[in-house]
Amino acid sequence: MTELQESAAPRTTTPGAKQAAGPGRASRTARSWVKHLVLIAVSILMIYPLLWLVVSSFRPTEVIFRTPGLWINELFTDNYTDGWTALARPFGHYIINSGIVVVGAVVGNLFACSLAAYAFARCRFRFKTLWFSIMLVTVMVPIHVVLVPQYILFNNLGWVNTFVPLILPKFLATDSFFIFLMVQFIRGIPRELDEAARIDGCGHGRIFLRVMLPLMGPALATTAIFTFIWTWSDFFTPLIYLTDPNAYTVPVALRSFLDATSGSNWGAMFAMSVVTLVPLFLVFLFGQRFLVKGIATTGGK
Amino acid sequence: MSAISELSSLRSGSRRSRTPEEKAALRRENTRDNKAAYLFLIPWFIGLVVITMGPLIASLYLSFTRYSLLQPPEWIGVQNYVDMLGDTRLHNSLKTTFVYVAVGVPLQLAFALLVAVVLDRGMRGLPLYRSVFYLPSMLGGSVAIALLWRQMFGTEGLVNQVLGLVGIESTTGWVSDPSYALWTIILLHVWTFGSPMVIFLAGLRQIPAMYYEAAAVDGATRWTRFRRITLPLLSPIIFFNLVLQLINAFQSFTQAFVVSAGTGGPADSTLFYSLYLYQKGFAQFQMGYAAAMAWLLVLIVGVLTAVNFLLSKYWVFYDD
Amino acid sequence: MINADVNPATPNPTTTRRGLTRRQAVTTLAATGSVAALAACAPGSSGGSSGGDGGGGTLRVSTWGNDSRLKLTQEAAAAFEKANPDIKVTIENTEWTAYWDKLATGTAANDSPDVIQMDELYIAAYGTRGALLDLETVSDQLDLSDMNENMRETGVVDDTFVGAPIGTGNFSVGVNPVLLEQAGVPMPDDTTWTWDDFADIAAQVSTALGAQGIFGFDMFGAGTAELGSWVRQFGQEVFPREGETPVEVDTVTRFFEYANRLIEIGATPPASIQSENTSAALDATLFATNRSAFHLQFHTQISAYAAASGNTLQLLRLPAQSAGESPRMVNKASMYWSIASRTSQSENAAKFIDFMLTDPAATTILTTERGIPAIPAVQEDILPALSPQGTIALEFTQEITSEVVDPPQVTPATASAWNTDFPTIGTEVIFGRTTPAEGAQRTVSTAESLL
Repeated sequence: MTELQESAAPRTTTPGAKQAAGPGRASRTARSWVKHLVLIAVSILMIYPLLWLVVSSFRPTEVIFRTPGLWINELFTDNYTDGWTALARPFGHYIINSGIVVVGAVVGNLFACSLAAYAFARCRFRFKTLWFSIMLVTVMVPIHVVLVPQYILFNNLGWVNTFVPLILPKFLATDSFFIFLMVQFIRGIPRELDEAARIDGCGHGRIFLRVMLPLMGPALATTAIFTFIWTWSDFFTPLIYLTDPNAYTVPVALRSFLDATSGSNWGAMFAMSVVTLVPLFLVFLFGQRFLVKGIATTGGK
Repeated sequence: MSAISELSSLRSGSRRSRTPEEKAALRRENTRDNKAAYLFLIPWFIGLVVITMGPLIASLYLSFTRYSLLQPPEWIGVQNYVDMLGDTRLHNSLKTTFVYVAVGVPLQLAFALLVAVVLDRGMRGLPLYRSVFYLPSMLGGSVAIALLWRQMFGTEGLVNQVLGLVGIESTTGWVSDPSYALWTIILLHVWTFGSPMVIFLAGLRQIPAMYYEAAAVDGATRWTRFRRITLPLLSPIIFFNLVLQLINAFQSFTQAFVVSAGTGGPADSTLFYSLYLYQKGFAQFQMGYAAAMAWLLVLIVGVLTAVNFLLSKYWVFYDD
Repeated sequence: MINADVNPATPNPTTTRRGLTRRQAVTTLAATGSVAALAACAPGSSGGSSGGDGGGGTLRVSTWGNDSRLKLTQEAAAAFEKANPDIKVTIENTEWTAYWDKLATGTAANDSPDVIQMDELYIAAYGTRGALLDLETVSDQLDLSDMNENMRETGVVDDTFVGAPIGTGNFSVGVNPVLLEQAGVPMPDDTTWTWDDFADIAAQVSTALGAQGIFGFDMFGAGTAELGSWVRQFGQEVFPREGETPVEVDTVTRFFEYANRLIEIGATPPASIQSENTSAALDATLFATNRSAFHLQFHTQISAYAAASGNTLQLLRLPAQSAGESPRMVNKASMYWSIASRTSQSENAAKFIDFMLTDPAATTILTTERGIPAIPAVQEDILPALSPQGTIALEFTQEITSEVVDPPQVTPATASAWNTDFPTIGTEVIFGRTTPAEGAQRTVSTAESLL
């Protein structure tokens, strides 16, 4: 921190002198163009799989693997119409299922993880080190070995084949990832802010609600976006806990098009993947606005 | 463990002599803190007791049993742990995983940080760029990505075609040749750098712009600003990404699973530890052994994480 | 039973509300832990496997397969419901890999489906561990006396009949006639051909069409089924029953040497392409995309390959070790229907299986989707409903019926690892990372260790 203060402390040099000696306006635009060009080039590399996915979704299944390249001669839309109706329910049904799970998970994670994170970051309490270590250990155990005991537990509670095993754990802060994430963010927020609130007579509850939450914008947005995307694309948990086909979520439904032993309906799978990617992309595109609203823009400190 | 630093600061603080009033106030505050903390932690505690801890302890117990999933577990003491000593496939999978972690994690984090800094501010179209750069991670471990990866790095794939254009004739199947398969998975890992990138972006937003303004006024170069402002102020977030990516990478499963169609092949070259554990538990009905493997992993990752936390004292700066 | 278990597993949440002391916490944790562990210990306290959904009259049927198979299965199930209005059926369909994860987890938690689609690879693993019902106990509802006796035997594990074979699968050579014609190679006579003939023919195709990236034969050397067939031709078995001859190192060495020779003469592609082909999706494989003329497979898969390739494909007998010898092919069960041992509706489950296997209302819908039905009368029933490709498969089975030898025992319960262990060794051999002799040594010792 001392290092920072040295460099950040404004010294009394005249600002103008340095600016004038800097690069001119024209060369700055040129540099911006170069930057854009590089970014566009890398973007193509990044977006290539999506292009392939979209293009493949407009090809008949048997052609997908026989024709390389990204060009399509005719737009074959049957995959979309067939894919939508190929399973027991129209595909929209599974999208709604996923929607319910995702909304529950996002709300749960925002609520429970922020509470826990505040305690770990800002309170002194007994056995803090111990609890924090336990929290971290819970993310170190591979899911495959806790799965069976957990299934037995949920089955005994009568929760199997409902959305409860997918949503309730989020309300109980079982995603240590996000707790730790928020802890790190909160610790980056200057303590003077809550000290000030405390002197004004605020308790922890009000400091959390009035001071911390507004300042945690980027962390909360990150949590929301990640929870959305990860829950939306999670295959294993819904696979295990949802046995009734009517309760399937999108990834489980998507796999219904595939089978390694009997051949797969790739066209329909790709088409429905594209359909279900749209909400993801939109969530990210618009959700990241909230990433941008940090302490920097709210003018803290 | 973050509390390690906290505790030490407490200890050093207590060396200072305090007046009785100060001490009483501190005690009152501590009690209040204690109460508040446990209140805030209620959901987490319920989750820990009801959902997390039971299965965790059960898996620890199972690691001392022979458990086929289909029959009740049978206590065999430390036999599973002894068996692990002689399991060459296990040793191989550990080696594979270590290479993956040691190369993949730093590369991915460096790349994510670089892109995050570039996409932070001061340009048009940033939201779109960010979304596009995040796309691969969104598709992540999907089957479509696995198919595409196998095609791109196949014998007639895009990579060999591009190599052909620059005059290198290659017929190597990068994904299917045991000598290269692991590296394509590492590349896949680096390529899906979206999550740490987003976290870095969010972290960069926490850095007050005034620091940069002041430094610019000061005439600091971009590099100096990065080194003197960005890095220290972002260090808690870098630390977070390092710790979590390390933990996750050790458990890496999905990518190798989908690309190798669940086998860890060719010739075990992408048989990650978690993949082997999964095969043992579910395909070979040796859940007791799998549980023992899991706890060995917890031990390894736990030690590395603890080391991480100890080292963090020297480079992570908190504002509290 | 479900209600009784709820209380110990959910510690009263109020105990955690007030500042939890360390000792309290530890006791609580230990309590939940042990409860979960205990639950894990004793999955089967009483019947009632249809726990989760609570619907008493609903029969849970789990299957793997793609959406088109699912559709057919659902139609057949609907026909069953119509014939048995008091029974409701839910089909729980998943793709192959996920299917086994889900089944294992569900079975461990005493929440397995009532009717289980089973595979040769796992039937012993489940059967010997008491997870599957003895079908003799429901023989009133499920009468398979018309089934080919040899075929029925493949569902017997540890002297218990735990799986009703759905259909026959013959491991055989698939051939793409269009490619043979393009290469100017005549269709081989599969009643006399040997592995050497096969290698030559495949090499001819590669030579003729290699420029277009087409190979004679797609892959050989890393598959468990081809190894099994190969050693059977020497009168040996990888997993011998009492009285059968175990596999010898020399036999496997010759197997690997043959695999390497195929690569050398160009009959099969380089190791890299073969390995790529192994993990590719069925529709993306060389044979499915008209880039290899020959392919070894269980013959009912030919329909899936035909659909992907757009050509009508033919079936040939396996080559023999030397001219005039029998290729010693076998009828294997392509899949089984099993019943969970803890089901509360064993009779309904048996009725369902019986309906699916014998009632024309179901068999004419399902046809050869899960293999060639092993009951001669059913074969007659479905013939009119078959596609041309399905007819080819059915006729192939009928043609070789008189030639087949006794099927081997199913993969033993302890040997589920075989289908990942052997391909690893085979892949190392074709990549030249291990010599055939070393590979053979490892193969035999691995097989022995799994028994």
